[in-house]
Amino acid sequence: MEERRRLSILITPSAIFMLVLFVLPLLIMVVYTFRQGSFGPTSRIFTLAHYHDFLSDRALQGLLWRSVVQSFWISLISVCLAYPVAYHLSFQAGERKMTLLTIIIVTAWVSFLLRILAWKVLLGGSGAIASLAQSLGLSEEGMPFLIYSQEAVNLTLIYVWIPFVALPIFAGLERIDPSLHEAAYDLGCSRPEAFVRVTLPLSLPGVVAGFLFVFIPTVGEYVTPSLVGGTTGVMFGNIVRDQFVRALNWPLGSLMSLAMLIVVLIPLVIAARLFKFSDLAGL
Amino acid sequence: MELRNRFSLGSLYYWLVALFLYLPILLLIVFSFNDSTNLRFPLTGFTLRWYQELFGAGELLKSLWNSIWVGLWSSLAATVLGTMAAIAINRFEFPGKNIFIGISALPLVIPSVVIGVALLILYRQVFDVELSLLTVGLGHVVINIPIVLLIVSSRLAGFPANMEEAAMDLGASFWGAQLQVILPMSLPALVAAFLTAFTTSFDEYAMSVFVVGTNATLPVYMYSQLRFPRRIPIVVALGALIMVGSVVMIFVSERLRRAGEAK
Amino acid sequence: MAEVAVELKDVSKVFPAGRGAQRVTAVNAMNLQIWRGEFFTFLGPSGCGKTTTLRMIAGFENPTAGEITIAGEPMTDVPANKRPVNTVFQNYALFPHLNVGQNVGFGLKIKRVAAPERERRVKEALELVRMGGYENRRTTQLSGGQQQRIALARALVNEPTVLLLDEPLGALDLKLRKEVQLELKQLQSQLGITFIYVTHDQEEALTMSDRIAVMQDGVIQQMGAPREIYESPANRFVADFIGETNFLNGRLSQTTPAYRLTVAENEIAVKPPETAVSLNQAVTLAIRPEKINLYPVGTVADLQAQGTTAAELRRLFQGNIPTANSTVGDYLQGEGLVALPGTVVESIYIGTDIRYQVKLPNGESLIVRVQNLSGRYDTRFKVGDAVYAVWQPHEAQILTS
Repeated sequence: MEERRRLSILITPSAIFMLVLFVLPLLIMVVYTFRQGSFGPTSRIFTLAHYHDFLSDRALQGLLWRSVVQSFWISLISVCLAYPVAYHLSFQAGERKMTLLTIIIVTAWVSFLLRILAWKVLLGGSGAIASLAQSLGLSEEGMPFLIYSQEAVNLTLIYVWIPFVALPIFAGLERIDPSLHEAAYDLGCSRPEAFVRVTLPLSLPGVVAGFLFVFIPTVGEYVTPSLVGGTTGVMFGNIVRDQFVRALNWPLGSLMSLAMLIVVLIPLVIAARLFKFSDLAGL
Repeated sequence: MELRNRFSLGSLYYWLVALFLYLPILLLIVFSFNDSTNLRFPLTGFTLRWYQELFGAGELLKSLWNSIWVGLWSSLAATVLGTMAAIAINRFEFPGKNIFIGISALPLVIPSVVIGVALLILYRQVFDVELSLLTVGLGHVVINIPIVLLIVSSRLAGFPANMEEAAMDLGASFWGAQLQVILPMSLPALVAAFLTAFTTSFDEYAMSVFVVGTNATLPVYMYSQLRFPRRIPIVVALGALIMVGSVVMIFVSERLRRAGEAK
Repeated sequence: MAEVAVELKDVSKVFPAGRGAQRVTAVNAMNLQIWRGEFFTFLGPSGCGKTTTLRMIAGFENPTAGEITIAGEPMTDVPANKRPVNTVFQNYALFPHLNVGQNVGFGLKIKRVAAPERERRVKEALELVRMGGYENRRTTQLSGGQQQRIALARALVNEPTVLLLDEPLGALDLKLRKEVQLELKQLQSQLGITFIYVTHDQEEALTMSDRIAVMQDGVIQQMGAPREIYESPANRFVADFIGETNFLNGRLSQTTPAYRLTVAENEIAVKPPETAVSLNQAVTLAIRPEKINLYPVGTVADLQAQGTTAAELRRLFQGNIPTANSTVGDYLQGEGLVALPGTVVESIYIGTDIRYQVKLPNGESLIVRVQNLSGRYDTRFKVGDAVYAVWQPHEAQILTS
């Protein structure tokens, strides 16, 4: 059983690590949802009160739903904006495609905070766009309506996500055998028809991967809303964070975090059922 | 004729998107040389003041150092653990393999806030440890393992399955084959995985902020500074430097990755 | 008696049923001795167990039962890296991160051979495979044929007792493959190393081997020299797998004084079978397409009337042209040849040969290959022509399984 020993030497360290620092904390978080208080004696009392609170709080559920819908649109628009870029790179850019791809991807590696900050600066009431308009004489006052809104959050996140979405779509398009397009033309398809009937369906795993890749973190997003969202742009993630940082209601925060996890796992599981894992992962 | 048309249209769109992606970043860089605390037009004059003040900003530099430190160790740990797991996945069939892959990949696709919250509860309520750079670093290993696993296992899957046998046929032991053939063969992927893990750790805020102690990492410190408008230009100046640094690093790792793929 | 290089005693390999896979007996109680210095080939279709056998000798698989010895040493507890064998892999398995010289020197480095000696031996090995001076090339820059040579050098440089070759020419194109076959054979006789070769290509096996083991379903169907395997296949599988063979259903109608067989509504002469066969037993008659000749039907006068030249007639009747009103059938009978009447139903021109399909009276058909020589009457038959399919009695073989 030499083979088993080899396998266990290779796999045990990461398996134990993931169990202790990933699976265990998630399970404990679930247990925590049943506790009455965050610390001290009340944390030892088990209760369903937080479930009751959460399920009867229409505003809270509404915010979760709104964040999910908002994430859906942000992800969809990101995919729609990124798809033509990936298509251009894969089918039209020829020799330069890897260079052009790198140009796009590099922006994804610029600090997340800085990219949000850039939009805070751009959109600010007396920020770059407003002040530029002012100095060009296009506008008299500042433009306070640009920032601190849901739209500002949407714009910023779409900006942040485009390179992340372009990569898996590009990888998906690259895996399509070019002779399939030729076969489609040969069988009488026009270019748009060939795209709709061959290219698009085959690139679907990449599209779905790109979509999920941004949808999931967007549902949990709280940094962008807190920087450019103001009071109207608040997302569910902000409330979760508040339970841990301000309200110190960890059990309710855990429950909200669990609700968020369940919401994002549903599309993930569906996608995993519909597509092969290796297609989604772009392997 | 039609083809030419389509090409220029796609090309035009590409460059518009690229412009959209680069303009805000370039704007920040421009402002980092502007002689005003207000990030607004019109520009008031060229200065290197913010870059000079950077060297006096002790807290900022400390958090930078913390982030480099955490990044190096968490990426190294994730690269070692993830590579071992990738070799195991590529080489062995075992019960629960798909569950292992699924769980190991999951941190990549669940919101960081969830991981942050769960780890916070684990650290404070179960282990009762003080939050520190170690607690942040361990969290970073959790999100970096999937990255390493994906990059390295996709590289390993690209090789013929019998490389290990070929090495053993020539006299190498199992572990000798791993060290002398499998690892060197995957070296470009290991470097790429390490660099990707490092930049991920270096930039991580959403989870880190839950498990960081008083000793902040760079993103956590930067975020806290955004409340003070006078500090923003310095933060931007540091950001610009890091941006240049990370762009260089990404080009290096992409080069390596592609050099490896052009087998 | 020659020395035994590799011996298999009752070796079996069973792959247990797994996820979506059934339990498979890849090798079934195999007994085998391979002589030192022999070029031995396992030949069979994919899934016959030939590669599994090779992998067990190499040490990549452990036998489920039985024992393998190499040079008299039992190998049961010896891992692959400690066996005195080296392998040339089908995909060559050259290490992509090492250059040619480092690839070839890999085994020596593992054995801690000092650098100067290592370099010398690498150089020799590369020269042996006519790749001298390629030490510093990247393996990715080489053609398939060159990679194959490097893989060979990488194995040979370790001076193995036995060299294992797993379909090493499978990825090369036909012309190159033929060239390398001859080179390999020469190299083997020059070095005197035992070669154990696995292939599904019967022509390759016949060209190179001293002995061939034809395998199917984990069992050796026949083992012997190429000529023996080709000329007297032990059973229908071997006859069918090695080259092309016609099979006719027959019944033994006479055993003394000579064996006679009823096939296709005719009684013909046949050589005695290898195994015991009783009167009236149903058997299969195997005859190779190239052993059959086609003769026209009719009298000599008929042939002349059709415009057959004197030269063609001389050739057809081997110089002894019969009288004008004697028939071809009589002539064939007089010569003691087997002659089955039939009709040409297909004629295909394939360059070196003409390939006919001849339908016999009972509906069975024969494939006949006729060499495409000028001035031969039998290259000109057309679909619909009545012919005799003719062979010498000893060319056909009775098979019972």
